[in-house]
Amino acid sequence: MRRIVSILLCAALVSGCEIARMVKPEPQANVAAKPPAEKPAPPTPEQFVKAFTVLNERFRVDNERVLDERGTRSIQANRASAFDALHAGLIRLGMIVESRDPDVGTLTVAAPAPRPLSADEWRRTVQSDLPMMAEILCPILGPYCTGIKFEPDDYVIAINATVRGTERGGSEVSLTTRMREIAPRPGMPRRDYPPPTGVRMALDKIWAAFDQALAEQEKRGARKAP
Amino acid sequence: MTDSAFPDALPSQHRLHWYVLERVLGQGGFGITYLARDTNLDQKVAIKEYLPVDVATRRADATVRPRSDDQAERYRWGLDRFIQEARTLARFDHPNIVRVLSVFEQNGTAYMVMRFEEGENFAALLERKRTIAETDLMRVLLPVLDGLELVHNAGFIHRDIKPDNIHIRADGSPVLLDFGSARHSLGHVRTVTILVAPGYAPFEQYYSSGEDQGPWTDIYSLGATCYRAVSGASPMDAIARSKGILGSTRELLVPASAVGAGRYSDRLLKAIDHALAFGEKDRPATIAQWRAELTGGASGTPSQARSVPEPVAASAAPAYFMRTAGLVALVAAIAVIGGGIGAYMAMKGTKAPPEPVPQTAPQPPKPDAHQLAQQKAEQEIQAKKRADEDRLAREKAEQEMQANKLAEEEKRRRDEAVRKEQQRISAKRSAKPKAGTEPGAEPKMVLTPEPKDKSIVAEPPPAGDAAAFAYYRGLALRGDADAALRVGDLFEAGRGTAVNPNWAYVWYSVAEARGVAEAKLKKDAMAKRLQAKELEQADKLARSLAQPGR
Repeated sequence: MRRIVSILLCAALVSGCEIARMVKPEPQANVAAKPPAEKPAPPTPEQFVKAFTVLNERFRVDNERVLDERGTRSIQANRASAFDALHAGLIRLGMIVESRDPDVGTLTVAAPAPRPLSADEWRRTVQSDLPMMAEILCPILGPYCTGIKFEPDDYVIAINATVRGTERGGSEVSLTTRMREIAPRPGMPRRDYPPPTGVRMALDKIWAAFDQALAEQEKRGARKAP
Repeated sequence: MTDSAFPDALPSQHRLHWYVLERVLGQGGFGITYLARDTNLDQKVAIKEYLPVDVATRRADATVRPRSDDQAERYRWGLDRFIQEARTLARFDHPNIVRVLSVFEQNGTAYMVMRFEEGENFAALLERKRTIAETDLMRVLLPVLDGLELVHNAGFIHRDIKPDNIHIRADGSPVLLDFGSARHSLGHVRTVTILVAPGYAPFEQYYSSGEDQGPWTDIYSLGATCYRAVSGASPMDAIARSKGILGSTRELLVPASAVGAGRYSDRLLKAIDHALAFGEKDRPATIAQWRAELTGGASGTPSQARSVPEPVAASAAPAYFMRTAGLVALVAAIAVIGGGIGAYMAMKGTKAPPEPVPQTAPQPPKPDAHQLAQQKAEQEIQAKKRADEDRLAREKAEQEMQANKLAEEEKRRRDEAVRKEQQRISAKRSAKPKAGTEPGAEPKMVLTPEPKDKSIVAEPPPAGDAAAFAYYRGLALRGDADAALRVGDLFEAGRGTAVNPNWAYVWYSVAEARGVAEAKLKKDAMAKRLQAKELEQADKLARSLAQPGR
């Protein structure tokens, strides 16, 4: 029986920390038990809290920057058309509608991470954000940070969207994203912000899906504003 | 509360943290469900206690202990799965899936705190009416599909769907209960236990260790539930069917299309028969696909890949149809379906005395020779791991409990502050002619609310969360200030809609702009839960909603 003890410092359209997760491989006959490999001493809870607090702050700043750049768009289409297109686009990306109110212009969707990213996009997010996270975490956690992995498990990505009519008959679409930790770790700072690369990629995907749905609508004939 | 019917139950007024037990709602082979009062939030909750009577017993000091040392491991195994069930359910926040509020360990066992729902169990309803009309069936079925699709998309399978596990709320909306056998379907199939409800479980649940199970497993059970609703009897057990099909290639189950011909649409009956196909590969692969068959919409093909359920775009439209257009219809539906529904019902306590439902709670694997050998080997391998995990789990539960307690205390303090503020404002209003008109009144975002429609405002709100939400939302959109506050409350509490602090903040802001002073405290409380960009987004929307003549 081989035991793999790993520190999972999950992040991403996701991020959390699971300590000493045991992974059991398929049973193998005639294989002697191996002692666990030598590991550096684990950081203290205080070190973890400090590391995550710093990381959260960095993610918050980066997230706000990404949302400033890409979170809102003004378009010519009327509010009803924009709402329908946004709804269709988000559904196509695998998001699940939690609530929707076309009259008010609110739409909330959610899905288990890494959605709306694919597994491949997820890996790219990892490649992109890991060095930045290591730069923040390693000085605090020491050699333990080499065991850091990004995992999308145990997180839900939620997107809140608003669609407002503008004075000239167009509309403004605004998106915000947040992570929901399914089982928050007591004593650990809550992780509300997805990694910035993930947010950037997700927003690009959403806007592309939105544009596509809008174009399809225009072909069929735009809806009248309510 | 401890009476001859429930000798193992905790007594009435027994306190579990800040929950005070009121009475037993039901007891099964694996636990007792109580009606309790959350004294912090002053609301009713249902609390399910893990008490598997075959392996554990209640002691005089209220603790639950294994009946013998030999049973200790089985008891702990089940207890871990009970807690896991709670955590599984807590992943989902959907109006048609039972809402788990908390779980904690105490008295040597565990307690799952759930939202208390009023209404009637679907099994009891079917027992009373024998069959139900197609429209009524669809009004129950489609929202359940909506919730179940969320579960499937998250990689879980319910594995124990049957009429007993569907609860019909007082407003007619259904809620799916008892995820006791729900297991993560991605990579954990080796630990799946066979838990079956005869008649409602497909054949693969009897023989498969999990790899052949998927959304189509739940679809079979839903098909069987529909079969029960249209025929008045549950379908033949899959084992009995297998004797016919595997022995002589002859199907023993009378198809729904024959049983319900002339009373139900061909589309519904064909969809039921498709769901009840004996071979798993012959059934619809996904909820979206089956929903399309039920509703006549377009979706995937029967040969669609069966591995991990992928999101299906077509699923949202019917789901939305049921969530919005269906709100009023559901209220009407319950009038048709439920007739005299009115008694307070528990999550499972619909029968008196309730029957034990051994399939609905975790139980250890059935001990055949092969499994026992495998279990023994695994037990040795995992002995140390289990001890470590137990210790970590206990520590984690204690920490969670402490954190929950602090949060509840904070909430109570906040509520108390709101209540005092409301009293102060009421006193002020009764002393002065009208808030906001006196000199020096606090400036509002927009101080020109549209006049209330007095005739509608004067009507009492309809019963049920969903109906109340629709009612207050309609009024709020027409300019009613108090209704805007209520919509904010409903978004905050997740009643009649999904929990959403962002939209709660929006509606509190609108209410404040329309002159409801107490909305400010609530708005400020919500603001603390929002991120900076979310606040910016919500403020913009609130301003546009508060504009007169919007």
